[in-house]
Amino acid sequence: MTANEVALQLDHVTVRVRDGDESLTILDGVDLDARRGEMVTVTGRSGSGKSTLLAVAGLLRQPTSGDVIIDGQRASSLTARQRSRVRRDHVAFVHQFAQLFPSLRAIEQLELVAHIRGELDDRARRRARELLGELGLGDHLDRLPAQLSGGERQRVAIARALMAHPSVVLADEPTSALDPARARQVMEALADETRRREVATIVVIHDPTHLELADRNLELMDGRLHMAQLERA
Amino acid sequence: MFLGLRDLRVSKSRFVLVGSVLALIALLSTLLSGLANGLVDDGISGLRALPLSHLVFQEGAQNSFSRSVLGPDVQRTFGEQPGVQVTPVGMSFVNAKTGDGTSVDLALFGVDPTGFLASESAAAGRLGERGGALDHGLVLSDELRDTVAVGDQLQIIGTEQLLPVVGFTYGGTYGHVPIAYTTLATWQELIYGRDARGRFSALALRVSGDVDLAELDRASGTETVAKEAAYSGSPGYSAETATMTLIRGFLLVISALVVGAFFTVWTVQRTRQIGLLKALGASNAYVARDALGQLAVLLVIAIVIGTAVGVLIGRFLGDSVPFSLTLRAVGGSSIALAIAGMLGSAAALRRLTNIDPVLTLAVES
Repeated sequence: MTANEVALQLDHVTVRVRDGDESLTILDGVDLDARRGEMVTVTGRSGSGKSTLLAVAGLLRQPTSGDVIIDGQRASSLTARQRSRVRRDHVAFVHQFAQLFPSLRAIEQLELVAHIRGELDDRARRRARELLGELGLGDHLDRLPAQLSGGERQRVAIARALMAHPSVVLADEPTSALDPARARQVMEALADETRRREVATIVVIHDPTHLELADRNLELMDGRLHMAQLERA
Repeated sequence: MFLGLRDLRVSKSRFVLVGSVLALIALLSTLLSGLANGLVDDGISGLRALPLSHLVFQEGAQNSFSRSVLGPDVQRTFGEQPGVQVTPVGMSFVNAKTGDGTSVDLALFGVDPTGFLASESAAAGRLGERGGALDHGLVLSDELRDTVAVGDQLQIIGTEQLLPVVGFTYGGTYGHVPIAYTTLATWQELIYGRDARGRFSALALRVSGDVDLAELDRASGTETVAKEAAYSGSPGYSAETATMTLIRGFLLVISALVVGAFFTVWTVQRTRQIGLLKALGASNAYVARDALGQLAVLLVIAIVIGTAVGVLIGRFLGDSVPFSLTLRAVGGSSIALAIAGMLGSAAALRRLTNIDPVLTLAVES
């Protein structure tokens, strides 16, 4: 795998749902390429389909039509079990409000990812410490989520997402509960890690500030992505 | 069980609450086991202690000594069989009075002082030693030590007989009544007067090798049952064991429902967390293992505490309540409770595996 290689591709993805007697189109033939080392933001009004886009891209939801290709593997050709495996091995999520496990210390949030994969050993523990250290949380390893600030929680979530060496990181409004200063720290952390670890990151974001940190900004409107290339700051 | 164990560590108050309920159920289950065992002991401990393998009753007597009358011909038929040792037993419930007018109920067993019951039973020390000298004497079960003393004369109500108490032994009880041993001849005289004609209640057997007891029964008009099967003839035994079994069964069902309800509510409360686990790549098997492991730890801790308290309470109950616990009874009741709890959680497992990781995202529709 090399930088600039396409890690995630949405190929004419359409999602329709039933709304009573009517059919509602949430995504309407969306095409998107995300390359390794590239951070793409997706903005849009509430209910515009941003999170649905992430759910489809992360293989949590199947599109009505179209396909999702992750590291060259077409989701439509995979069984449900294979899709779960591709998601586990290639995709990581950074959720809204961090969504950390309340009973796990910061370091354990990362160790859990290795445990799920059956890979929790000294090497994994060392990596978890390093990741948290790189995100400025080296002194907070043993803190529970309730003992962390909103920004710190979100940085733990970013570290957790990176724990399993994903090629695609999907972030769902990671700054929605943060003040502007902390929101910027989180976005900077996401952008830095995207480039340093050469992952393709899609950030769904409601707040249109800090967009200059991304390589591209897209807007989802009427079920379609409108691309607006931004110069990197 | 990475997450489950840490949940237990951090959310102590939540688990202490439900753990206490489970411990109380375990406590109740242990007490019921003790009472059930105690009742069984009280009903048949005397019979259980006798060194016999089978009992022969009159046909249709339903294993009850009171309904069975056999004669010397049956003793002869069975006694002639190779591999079969026989000794006759007379048994009647009688009421006796001490010299100071105290009334005692007795399960009066008449045994042949030269037979294997007298020479090898718990009563051997007394009946065997004294042999025929026991005529018109009683060896009482230890339970009566506080009521009568050696040398007291007991008058059997309904007769003019005065029988001296010649000693005490571990005799146990039969039909919740302390056992008193006397010679078969004395028993026959008490029950039949001078017209006993060698009659007795049942024949005690010790069978070794392959003996066709059914054929002997057909020839003698008798019913031969193994010792354990004869317990059902003890007054109240079947009804008591059925009642206790029913109560314990209900307790297991209640336990399963409590655990099932808790596990369901706990799963609903953790829906987002479980979705998140799956979003991180956990399989349904991983999630189920984690949740069931957590529940198993909780159940084991609660059952151990509840059972220990139950055993402790049992020790302080004293003689006022028939209470008896064996390791097997405690183990059996604990394991049954744990299994019931795990079965109760099975209903919530489906809910657990159906949780969709997509709910971790703020999906619009």
